[in-house]
Amino acid sequence: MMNVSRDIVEFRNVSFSYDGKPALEDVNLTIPANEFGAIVGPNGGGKTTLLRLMLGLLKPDRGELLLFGQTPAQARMRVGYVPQHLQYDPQFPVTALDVTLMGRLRPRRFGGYTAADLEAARGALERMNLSSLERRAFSALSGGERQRALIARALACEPELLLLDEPAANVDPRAEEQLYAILRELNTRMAILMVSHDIGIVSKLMRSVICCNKKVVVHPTSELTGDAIRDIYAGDVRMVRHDHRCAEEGHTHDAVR
Amino acid sequence: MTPFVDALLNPDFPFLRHALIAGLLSSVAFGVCGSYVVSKRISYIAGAIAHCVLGGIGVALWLRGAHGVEAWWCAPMSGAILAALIAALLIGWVSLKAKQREDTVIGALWAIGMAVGLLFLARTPGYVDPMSYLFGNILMITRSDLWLILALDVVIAAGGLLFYHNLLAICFDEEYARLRGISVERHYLGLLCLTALTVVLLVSVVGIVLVVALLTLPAAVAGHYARKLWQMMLLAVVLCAIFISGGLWASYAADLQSGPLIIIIAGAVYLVSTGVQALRE
Repeated sequence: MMNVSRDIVEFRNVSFSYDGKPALEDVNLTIPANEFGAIVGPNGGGKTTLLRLMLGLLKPDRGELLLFGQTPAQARMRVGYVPQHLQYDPQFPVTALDVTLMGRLRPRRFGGYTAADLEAARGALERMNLSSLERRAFSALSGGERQRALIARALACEPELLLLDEPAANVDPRAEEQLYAILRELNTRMAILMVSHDIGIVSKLMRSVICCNKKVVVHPTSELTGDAIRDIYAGDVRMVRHDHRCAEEGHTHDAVR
Repeated sequence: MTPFVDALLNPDFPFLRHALIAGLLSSVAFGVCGSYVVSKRISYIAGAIAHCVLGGIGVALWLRGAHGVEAWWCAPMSGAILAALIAALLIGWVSLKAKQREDTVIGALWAIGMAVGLLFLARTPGYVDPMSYLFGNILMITRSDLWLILALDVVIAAGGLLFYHNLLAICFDEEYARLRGISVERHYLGLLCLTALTVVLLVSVVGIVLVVALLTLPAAVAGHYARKLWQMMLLAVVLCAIFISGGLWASYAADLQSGPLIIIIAGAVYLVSTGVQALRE
């Protein structure tokens, strides 16, 4: 069983800038092993940067970032990642199963995939309800199916942390609902962090909201209010209340876990 | 057709037989490498490498003709291989380090390689016809060339198939391959080197100017029908063999150059196949 209290991600005073333009400043953040969190914030606020730091695709300018007590590059094999959109050639000759198998790649290996790899990939496809489509060309899948195939690819390596970049951006509402049901079920086995625009959904489903606008602040969803969201987006935002769990009395940023 | 078959079997016409064997052998490399090139969309890099090959050939012929260096490393084929590999590594290095100026550098190498080749050929004593390198002359392939072609073929096919899964992942989604711990840089440079060797083979079959067409058209047609990369490769190999044999036959029947005929056949099939695809949708 998962140790609930263990922190799997630790940001310690992490800063990052693109060519001198600061994107994230002094981030302190811990993610527990059972986390189901959304990373929200305005465009250019550093959401994707936060994700790419955790993936080891970017390196902090200052501070320390540990995943499972290791550097992000060392911990890669324990992390699943679902990109927002794939810049892929619609004629690219791969099937859904081929794409899923890519989640089982390991460094320094030629030759084929093992039977265990194939089994894990098929299992991941089954969890995503795509078993019947495993031989279909990736480009012939619908938007929602394609996204589930990408999630299957991320799950094929049996990750302990799943990172998703705007998973709801390119799918229709029905597929979106399906997606959240799947994520909630997956959360019983792994920590999940997703970049999201939709705060309404966020507050209904997630344990916490990671607000990202150069600074990073974590709110348990039970404390999310209009004030907090205005703080995050640094301007007037009209919020549609989806959920009664939003507290009436507002909060301050001292309430960080 | 029969006169063509007779000519193939005629012991006094070894060049036609050599040409066909060379074409069929190198089809394997063209199909495998061409499928990668088409799916990774780097055919313009193959074009630049091809034109740099003329630089290598020019320098090699000049060393032979003007300085009497007879060593194996300055045979035209060696010069071609060396120039192609240098061009591939240079382009690869630039595209990995400085993404935004990649096309400028590729265009510059394209022209410089060609210019260097023409100048060295001009300084080479005796008359060297650049046309046979530009538009190829598969009928000039000798028995000893065949061994070199076979060797290159084996290297390309082995490299392309041994690293199939990694290269597939990199062509499809470079970032994800990197996240799975695959060294994207090394594989990309390796793929460019395989492309460079394939280009050298292509130059001897259809010539520098027509390289890109024979590298990409069979794979592109195959891509219309394949759902997996290996299917695309297999189909591209078969198509390539058909195009080259057909071109040779047409060349014999019509007494025209084989290189352009091979390309015309490949282009025609590609156009028809694209039309059929469009009608189906």
